[in-house]
Amino acid sequence: MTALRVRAPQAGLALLIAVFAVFFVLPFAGLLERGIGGSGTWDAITSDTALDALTLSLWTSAVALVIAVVAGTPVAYWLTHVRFPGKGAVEALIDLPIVLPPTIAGVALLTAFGRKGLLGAPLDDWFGLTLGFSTVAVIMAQLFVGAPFYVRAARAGFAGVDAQYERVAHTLGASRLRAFARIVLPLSWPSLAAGAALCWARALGELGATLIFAGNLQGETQTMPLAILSAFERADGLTAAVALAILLLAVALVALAAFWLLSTRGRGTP
Amino acid sequence: MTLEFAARTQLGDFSYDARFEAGNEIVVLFGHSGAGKSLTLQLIAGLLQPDEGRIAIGGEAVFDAGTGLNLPPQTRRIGYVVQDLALFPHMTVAENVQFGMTGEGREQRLAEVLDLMHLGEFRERKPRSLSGGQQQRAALARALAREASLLLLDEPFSALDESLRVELRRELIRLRSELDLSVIFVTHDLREAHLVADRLAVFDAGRLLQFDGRERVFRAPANRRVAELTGVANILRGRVVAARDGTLTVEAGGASLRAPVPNGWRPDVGEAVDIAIRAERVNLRRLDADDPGQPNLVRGTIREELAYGATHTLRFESALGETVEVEIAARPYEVLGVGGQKSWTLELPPEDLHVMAVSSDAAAGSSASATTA
Amino acid sequence: MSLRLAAAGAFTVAVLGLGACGDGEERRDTITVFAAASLTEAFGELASAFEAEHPGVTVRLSFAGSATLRTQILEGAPADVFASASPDEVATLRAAGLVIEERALATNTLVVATGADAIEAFEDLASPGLRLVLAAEEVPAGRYARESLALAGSDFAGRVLANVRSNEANVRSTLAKVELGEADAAIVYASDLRAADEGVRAIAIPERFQVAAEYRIALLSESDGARAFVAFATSPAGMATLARHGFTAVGVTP
Repeated sequence: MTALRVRAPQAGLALLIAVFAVFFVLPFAGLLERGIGGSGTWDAITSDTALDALTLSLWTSAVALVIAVVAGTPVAYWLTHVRFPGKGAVEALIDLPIVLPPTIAGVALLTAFGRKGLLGAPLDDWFGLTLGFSTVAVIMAQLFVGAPFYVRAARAGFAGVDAQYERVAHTLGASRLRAFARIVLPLSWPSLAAGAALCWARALGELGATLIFAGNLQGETQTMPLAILSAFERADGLTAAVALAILLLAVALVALAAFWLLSTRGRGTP
Repeated sequence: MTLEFAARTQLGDFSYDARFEAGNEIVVLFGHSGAGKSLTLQLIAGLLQPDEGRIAIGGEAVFDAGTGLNLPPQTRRIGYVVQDLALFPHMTVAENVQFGMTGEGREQRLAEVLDLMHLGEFRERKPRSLSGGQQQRAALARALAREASLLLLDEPFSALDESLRVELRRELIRLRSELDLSVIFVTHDLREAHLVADRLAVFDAGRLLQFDGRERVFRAPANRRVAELTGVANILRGRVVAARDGTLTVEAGGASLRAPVPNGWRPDVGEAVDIAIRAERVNLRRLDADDPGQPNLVRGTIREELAYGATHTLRFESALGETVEVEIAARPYEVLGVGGQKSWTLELPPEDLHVMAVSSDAAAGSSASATTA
Repeated sequence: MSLRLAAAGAFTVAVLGLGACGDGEERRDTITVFAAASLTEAFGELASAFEAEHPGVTVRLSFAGSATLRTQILEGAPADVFASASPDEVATLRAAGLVIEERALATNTLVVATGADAIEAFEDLASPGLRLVLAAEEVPAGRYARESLALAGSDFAGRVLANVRSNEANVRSTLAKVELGEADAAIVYASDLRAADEGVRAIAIPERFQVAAEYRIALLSESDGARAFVAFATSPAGMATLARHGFTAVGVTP
């Protein structure tokens, strides 16, 4: 009786873990099973559509990441060092795209930067400049959904660096910039790298906002996720979609592995 | 003077006001935590800005409320060792030490400083792989490498065990004589303060109560509060009954005490005063029929006894009306046979009595008993 | 395939172990209808009317591009009825053995939707710099639009396709791009404009270039409710509803 009482919860827990694991592993297994078994997978991977989409995805997400890092780093640093009324609201606003469904992000971007949007309308009227259906719109969508992940991680990273280090660096003659470069940056590097990886992954996988704000045109706005969605609608159904998904998965894995190596190397060995 | 310091500032409920200077010497800022010692160092370093005052390092003003001058920390030539050291964890000892160096000959200077602090073999080690004492020396080396004439040390030895502290204090005194430095040294440890100080600044609740040579502060505290803070066990309240030939006669409790007139202050007859005498300055005598009525002699009975090995601390109930604490070395304790006798005559030698004015300020802070260890 | 079997087994056992259980009884009263995006309003009304006539039957509607719906059904989505904007999608399902019965539902004509003054006629679609949006080629509306352009000549078609800024996943998001002002023009179904903003105008496509979109409805399950729904959609009342939304009703066909 006692043995039973002890074992029942353990068995339940084991089952729960097993279900959870199966839930996460199975979709990948399914992709590989379809992709490797299916004929035409290789053709789909090497098709113009796939290569165009992959190229576009890689360089737009890279640009989005660079912008997120260049602009997000000072913002995150500033937020960890100043106090002002309403700071919590500002932080919540920056975090908002993280919890927002990307489709809402797309609609929101449209209302701001679309041809009839708050800023988009004057841009169009005065300069004839339109952002919709352009690669710029793709990058904006990726930046909008990805950058908050970087800023959030960077804030946590900066907050984790004892302020005493910076003060001491100042007393040792270091300017604010030098103290940041030599002390804060190396010490918060793992957080920054993790945030950058997350931001990039999010940008790479961006679908909803891009679909609504940037449209779907091969070579210009059709990123990998959009290409996968389009492939899904073709008569041959899943084959192409699966092939593209496997391709994107492989690229993402390689990139994340590289990020991981970078961040662990940055942390240094004792 | 290497440092001229005068600052007044208000931080929330805490008000701070202090003025002192330092030449080529070790000035110890002494007081309980929260007294304003570390704050003083931050004001000197430029990490905080006072509301009023003027701070000059090496004759050059770095802060002046009058002219609005306020140099940032990185342009004030100081070496600053904060309490938790803050060695940069991702850098080696050599990188840490070189961080604040500028100009030519950095390699050579690095070697010199590491050598001076006996850190040569640790130059490529990261801070976390060093012992507490080695980290302490590395932090000191980093501050020294700045070639600053003013060194600020905030409780630098507080986290170390006693044997290391002894060694490092000795090292600091050696450095001071070798390097021609001014050192501002913060501590709450009375023994440490006494050991390293040339001059002592006693802080309490944001105020500088006394700034004087070490011996002066210990022998002639400015008031009751300074006496308490510097470990004077016996502070008696009395009234001046006579003042003649540089000697005061004070009535305290039922006893009459003679004491020298203090420097720079002559109390009036009838004025209330505080009299300080350190526990180790009180002598024990065997009872004698002639004693009663003699000045500076009081009868007392032992009520409590604490044995510390090298010394004994005895607490007497006496005619003075207050408990008198006496510290006696182990050898005289045995020779006199203190252990077998409860009643003694206490001798309070005139030259060891210090008469202090009763200040309302100090009286407010003296709610603690006169038996501060 | 053993991997699939093993996975299915493991997952089923696990889910049952957690105490979850499906309710087989409930499905009889609920029918799931997959319908082309262009049918959104018409089928919304149709479903309400059907539910009013058949108390106790609930209609669940899922709207998307016909191609998306087809692929979802092929992958096992639990649809009882499929209303497609093109016979091709139904044919694919029939080839897969999923169709029990199918009927013609309606036809629809193509129009050019525009919100800008830049365009006055079908021919203007070839104006350089026009921001044109089409449904993707995989979607019936996109396929018809391209066929229509091809009828107007390959040179003309080439110049129009060069103006395409986006290939949308379904006809409704194609129209939305014009409504939002992001695009100057789009080729959509005449029925779609019934549901569009006031700011959007329709420009007729000449008769000789018209490609009639043929909507078909397919019964995918043997449930009585589903059968009744198909019958209702192709009944005179159903036809009237479709006509009200801009479709050309084709009447009951075997």
